[in-house]
Amino acid sequence: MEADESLESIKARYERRLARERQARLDAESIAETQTTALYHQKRYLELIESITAVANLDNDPHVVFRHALDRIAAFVDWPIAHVLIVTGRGGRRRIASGSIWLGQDRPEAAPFVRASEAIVFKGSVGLPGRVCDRRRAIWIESLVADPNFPRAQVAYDCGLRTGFAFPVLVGEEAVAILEFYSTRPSPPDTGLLHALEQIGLQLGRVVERQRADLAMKKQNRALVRLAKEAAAQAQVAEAASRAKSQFLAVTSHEIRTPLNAVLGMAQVLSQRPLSPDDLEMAQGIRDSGEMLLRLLNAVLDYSRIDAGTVEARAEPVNIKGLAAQAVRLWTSRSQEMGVRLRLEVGDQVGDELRLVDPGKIEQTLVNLLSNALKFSPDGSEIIVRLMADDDPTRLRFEVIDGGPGVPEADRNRIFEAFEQTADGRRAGGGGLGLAICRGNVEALEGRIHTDRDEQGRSRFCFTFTGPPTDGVAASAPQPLVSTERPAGKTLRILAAEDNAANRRVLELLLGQLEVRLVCVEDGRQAVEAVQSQAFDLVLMDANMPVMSGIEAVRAIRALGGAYRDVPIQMLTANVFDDDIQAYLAAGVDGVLRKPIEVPSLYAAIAAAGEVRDLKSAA
Amino acid sequence: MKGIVFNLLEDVVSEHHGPETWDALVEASGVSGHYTSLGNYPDSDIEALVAAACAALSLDRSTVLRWFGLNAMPLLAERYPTLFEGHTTTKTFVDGVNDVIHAEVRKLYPDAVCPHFRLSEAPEGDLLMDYQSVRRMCALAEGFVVGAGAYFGEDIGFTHEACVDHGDRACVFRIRWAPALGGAKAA
Repeated sequence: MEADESLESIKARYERRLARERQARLDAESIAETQTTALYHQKRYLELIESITAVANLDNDPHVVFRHALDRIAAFVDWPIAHVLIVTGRGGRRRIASGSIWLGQDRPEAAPFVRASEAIVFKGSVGLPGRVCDRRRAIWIESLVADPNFPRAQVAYDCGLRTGFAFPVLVGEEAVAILEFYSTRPSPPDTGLLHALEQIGLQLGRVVERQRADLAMKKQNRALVRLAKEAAAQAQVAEAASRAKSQFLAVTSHEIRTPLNAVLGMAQVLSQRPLSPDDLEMAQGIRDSGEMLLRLLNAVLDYSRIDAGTVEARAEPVNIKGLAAQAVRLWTSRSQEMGVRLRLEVGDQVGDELRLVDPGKIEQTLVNLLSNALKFSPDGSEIIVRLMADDDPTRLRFEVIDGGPGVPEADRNRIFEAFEQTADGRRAGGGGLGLAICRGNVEALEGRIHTDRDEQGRSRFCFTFTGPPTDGVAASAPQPLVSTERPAGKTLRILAAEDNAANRRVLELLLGQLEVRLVCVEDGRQAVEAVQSQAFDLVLMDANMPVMSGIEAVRAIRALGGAYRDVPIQMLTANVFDDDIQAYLAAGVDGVLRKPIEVPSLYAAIAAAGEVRDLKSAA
Repeated sequence: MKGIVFNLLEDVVSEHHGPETWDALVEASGVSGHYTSLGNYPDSDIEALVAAACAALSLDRSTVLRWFGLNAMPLLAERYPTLFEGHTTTKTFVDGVNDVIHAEVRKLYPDAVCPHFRLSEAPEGDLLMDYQSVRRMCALAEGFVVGAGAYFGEDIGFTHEACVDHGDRACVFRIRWAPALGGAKAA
């Protein structure tokens, strides 16, 4: 091609090529400058976003952060008027009104616009705020006066405002506030800035979100504090009620035991007298019913201690095999009367070793189960008490198998709750406390109690208890707890301090059958005076007496000089809670006899006093 | 179309046929002819230039585009060496067309409209490449792939199995890789 070209045309072609290349360079420079400018703006927008984000991250008060954003954005665009509007309600009930956060509201020329903006409430898509809310985007109005949807156009124009933009503060999809800005110069839209403002709106939204979470948490905290206070108040009320209940039980128990003592004592004395068979039966009936009343009273008191959680197991070395044998022996005659055979089976692995247990709780549990078994076993059937070793060498297991119908499977847990009885249980009588007391005892003994059927399908109640073996073997079978023989020998001198006349009479009747000279006084002071005026072999001291209580009298006697102070004293009282007994012993009594009077215990104490006297006279 | 493509075309034409041929193509096609790699220019400009080349050389559009792609590859490697770094085979280079090459192009030219290739491996190990673009420049793509093979010194097989120019909905390329040297097979 070139060979045919004239020099002129080659020159012209080179010039055109040069022109193309120059133009390409100019284009490149222009593009580079435009992009550099764009980058510069972008950098400034980023700085703006960053400066507002920094404050939004630090401050949790939306008003403070909105205020800061107004200042920064207005300074960025160099516009004089800025305003925050708050969005309330949603959907058709959405309202947008001034949040009274302003920039430039003090400019006199802007006053009418500020007033108009404070007065107006935007509903629906009305005005710049309504539109921003709807679209959740930043909007720029280049000419306010020409805009068809800007209700404040005239007042804005009168105040010299020409251009405006606004952007939403978004919490998720919800616009919660609008920030609007106004300029006195007509300004074309800046899409880069609008984009940056939308980013800022999201950052401001996070502050509102945090504040909402904060408020919700505080509200929840207040609710929790209130609940805690209520719970504390309820606990106080419950504690007070519980104290009142304990107090009530203590008082009632004493109040009931005192007359019951007289009823039982007199009935006992009466039944020992020569009576016609009818009279004897009635006297026996009074005694039986009184004893039943006493058992019920004891059960209620036991259960109240279990219910109050104040039950603690003692640990005494006990021969469990002996204890089981004794319990069975005590119930044998009763079973025979009812035509039921009662026998004890002891596993090979259970020996005569002593174990650390609370014998009272085991006895009571066993007796309750035996008494239940007797209630449900028909004439001609059999009750078996089994004592067996457990897999755990520190534990033993009792089973009471009866000839009754047993407990339906559905009721097997329920019956160990207080006042829960099966239909059969109600028919058989009882207060519904026996098994609850058993459960309380067994739990205090770190064991378990349940009911099921044995391998032959017989009704069975089982309980385990913890009783670690101790060194030593029981020397012999346990002695009967008390002698039922009447003490014999020389006349004993007994002082009884008792304020209740019926109970004094009971004592006179009971002791009248013995070789005893009884002196009765009516309060503690009289008792203290009596022991100083004559010698006694035994003092029976009631606890609750007018003038001077029994416990004060004991202390006074023990504080006396000479031989008086050593007189044996037995508390004879209906107040026999553990705390009471500890207090009597601390005051210096030799023993505690409970009311209603258990005659064998009373006689045993008298016999013991007789022995002491004999020893003294022998020495 | 990005200015860089026009720059490459000018360079390839000038290198193989002399700068005066480029002058002639610009003048014959009636385009402005001043292209900078920073700019964007109408697709019609590249079509006009290709049409002018077709007329001057009595070749069809596909042949011209394929020739351009094939011969542009060494120039691309010279101008953008980073795109080729780390690659020793055509396979890894072509595998990264979407995620590496076009990603790098977008870093340089954020507004670039790059075609997306759907890649899949045929059972026998061939690469199947779908190409769909309103620009219908499958021949240019073919030229680039074959040019890349030449650049890496591999004899690759390229079959245009389906083509929009033949009424197909999309173009499908089948690329058979050169047998690996020393038995090592590219992962």
